[in-house]
Amino acid sequence: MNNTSDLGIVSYGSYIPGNFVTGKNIEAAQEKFGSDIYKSLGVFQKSVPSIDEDTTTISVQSGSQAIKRFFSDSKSNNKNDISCLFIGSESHPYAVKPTGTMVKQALGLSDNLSMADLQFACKAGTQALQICFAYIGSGISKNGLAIGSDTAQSRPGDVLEYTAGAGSAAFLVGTQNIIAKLLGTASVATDTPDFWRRPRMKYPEHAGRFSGEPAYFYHIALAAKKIMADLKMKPKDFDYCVFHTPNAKFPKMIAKSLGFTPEQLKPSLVVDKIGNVYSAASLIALSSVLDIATKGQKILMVSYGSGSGSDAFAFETTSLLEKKRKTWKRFLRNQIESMKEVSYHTYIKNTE
Amino acid sequence: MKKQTDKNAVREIKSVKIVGSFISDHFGELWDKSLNDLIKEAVFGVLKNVSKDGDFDPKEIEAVYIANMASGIFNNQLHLNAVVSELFEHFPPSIRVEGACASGSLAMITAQDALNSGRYKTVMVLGVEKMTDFNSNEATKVLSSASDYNFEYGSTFPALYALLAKAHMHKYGTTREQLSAVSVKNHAHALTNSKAHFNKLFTLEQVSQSSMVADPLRLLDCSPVSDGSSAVILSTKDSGKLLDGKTVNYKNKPKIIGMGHAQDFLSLANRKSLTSLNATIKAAKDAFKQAGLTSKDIEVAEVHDCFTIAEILAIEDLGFFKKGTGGQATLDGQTTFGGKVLINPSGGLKACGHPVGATGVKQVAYLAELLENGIKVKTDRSKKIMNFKYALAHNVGGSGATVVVHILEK
Amino acid sequence: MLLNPANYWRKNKNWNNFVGKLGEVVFVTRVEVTSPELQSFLPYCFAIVEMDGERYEFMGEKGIELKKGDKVEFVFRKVSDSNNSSLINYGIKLVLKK
Repeated sequence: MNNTSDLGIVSYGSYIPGNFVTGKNIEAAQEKFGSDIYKSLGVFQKSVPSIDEDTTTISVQSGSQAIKRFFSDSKSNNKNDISCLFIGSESHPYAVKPTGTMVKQALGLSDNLSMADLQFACKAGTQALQICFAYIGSGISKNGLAIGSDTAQSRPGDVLEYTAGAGSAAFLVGTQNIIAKLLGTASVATDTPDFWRRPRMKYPEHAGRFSGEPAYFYHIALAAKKIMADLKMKPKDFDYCVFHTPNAKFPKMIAKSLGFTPEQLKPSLVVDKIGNVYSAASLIALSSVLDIATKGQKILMVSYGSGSGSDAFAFETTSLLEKKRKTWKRFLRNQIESMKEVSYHTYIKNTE
Repeated sequence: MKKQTDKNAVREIKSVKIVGSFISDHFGELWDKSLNDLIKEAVFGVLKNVSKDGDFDPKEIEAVYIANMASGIFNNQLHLNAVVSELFEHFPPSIRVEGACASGSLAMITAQDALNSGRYKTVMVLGVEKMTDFNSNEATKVLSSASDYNFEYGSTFPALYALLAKAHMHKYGTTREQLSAVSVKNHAHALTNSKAHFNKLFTLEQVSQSSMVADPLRLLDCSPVSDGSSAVILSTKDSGKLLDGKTVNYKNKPKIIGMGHAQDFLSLANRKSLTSLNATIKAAKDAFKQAGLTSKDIEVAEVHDCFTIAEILAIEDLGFFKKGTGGQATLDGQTTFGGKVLINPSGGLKACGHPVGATGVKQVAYLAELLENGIKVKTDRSKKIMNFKYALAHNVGGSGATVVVHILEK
Repeated sequence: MLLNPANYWRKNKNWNNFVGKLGEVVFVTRVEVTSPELQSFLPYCFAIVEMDGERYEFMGEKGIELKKGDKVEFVFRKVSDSNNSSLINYGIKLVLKK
């Protein structure tokens, strides 16, 4: 889709829980000493939620920051204009009762609200973003809030244990006072069984190396090529690229194969410190870029959700981004810097 | 006419005598006694304690007031007024009274209001709690209903008093050792009381190093969870009848000469002061005024030491010691035998035990017996009997939202 | 039922009066013995806090140490354990303001 009207990101918030467990400690717990699995994945530590946190509470954290920033200098903004809320996660606390209901209540949003929870593995957050853009673009809503959050579960002993982390990112979208304009968006979806979880099961199943080429790489490439064709843009036309981060290796590989440089990718990569935050992953990576981007810069973001699908977005930053950022606090890097180490035992207790 | 419009007019009360008193044997973790057993024990026990010459005639009891905090949860039993009334052949009218840990003294007030109105002349007041069937965590949860459950969510009773302790320590420099001194003293006192839950001495160090419950309050700063019951018979008559028809004269029975009942905000956050229980100050003022006495006239008192800090607050707020000096006074021995005023000779809630609904009644029952018979004290040479003319009972609900003070005269 | 739906619903009206706001610790205690449904949060701080001249009482987030005078932020957290079938008990807790 080519977007010529003013539609874009108004503000965003991110939240990483304040604890981490190291890859080294996970390796010790798995009794795979010297295997260096975490090194090969490039994920040296992953975020661990507090025992009183879950997907709902971390969504409130990121959503609260996005809303605070929404008000930061624009007197014309009104919380009641947020009339759609979509939250994507693999760890919604209820199978029936949307996370959005509690989040909406805690954030004090209007009762006039379109809202539902989404699940599409790690792309649920970006799908929420795309849906919000559609609501705004169609005129149904003036402002929308899209949140991707996860407090991911992984089976002790499984390789996913090295990467399954916790985090949340919230994006407030609209047509006025935008900090990054939406240039276009495209999505792909197929039936590719690389990762799934049946309802009564606690942990997901995954298909090993099958989640590589036919899954992650295929779908991201498909969506990336579609959006670039729609917009008649090439990798060199972008200042930054953002890809889903199941580990630190895959985004580097897909960036290279699509023709992006390491410099275009680097600002988005925080996965080595927080792990794969699933439905928040691509949005967190995008936040990382928006935290440092200057005006007039173009960003390509392509997420990936197992099962499978990808959402692609192209943004161009406005002069308002740097202006607003001056009044903001608690950036992603500040949160990551203040994380404290906890033991493997605490990590297991907190994510039970 | 002047008395009716005078806001400070002392309410005229009839002379209410405590003609019989009983404390169940003993307070503690009583596996073989049920709630009903404890109620029966108190009813029949107090009927035996009116006269040495025989049992009191149950038909003299015109009404029964039964105090209890949480039998609905602890024992799945409400309708306690019916439970106690059916123990009498004549089914006296009965009322259950609840005000958290002040339930006992509130039942006393309710009974006295009925006596003062002339509705009844002789009534029984009974307090009971059967709470040890629950484990300590479950009991903690039940007791937290004495706080503002929603506004103070996550608090425990010890936590609320711990906050009061923090405030007192911050403002007056009250120390860990001074808190411990309350516990040590009350355990020593309990050795003179056969009805006490605990019969064990502790040192200051043992109290200070017991396991933490809610900082700074440790296990031995906290009164226990106890089962028990207590009862008194109150009358405005000059004499009564025993079962065998004999008359028993009440002229030497102790009297209630003053009472005060005050309230405050339920939650700590709303209180004007965190270093005083304003309800204690007000209830004491009213009680002293009615009795025509001051704190200087009181030689012995049973105060509400649900936690050690609570006793320190009580002896200050009741006027026995200047604000902020209660801790040091305790450490200096001013509140034990030979000190300025004897506080909690029964062992208090800490060592005698705290069956919640029974405590307010037990305090009055204990003091009534004390005024009648004195207390045996071992000196270096021999045992002597200490006698007292006036005694004070101080009973608190929750973290200080309800306070009742009674003043008794020999 | 661990948490009554009607009580939950009445309480949730209050959440957004606190989320994101700041306060100061007036007095605080560290709780080490508590009710059954709060066991997994032990030890936790319980504090009287002041915000805009009014006082409130809240639990601290698990594991944090608070002291008198600390500036705190009100955050949205789980406030008790739940089982597999009950409503999840959300509410307000305190974290140190960063």
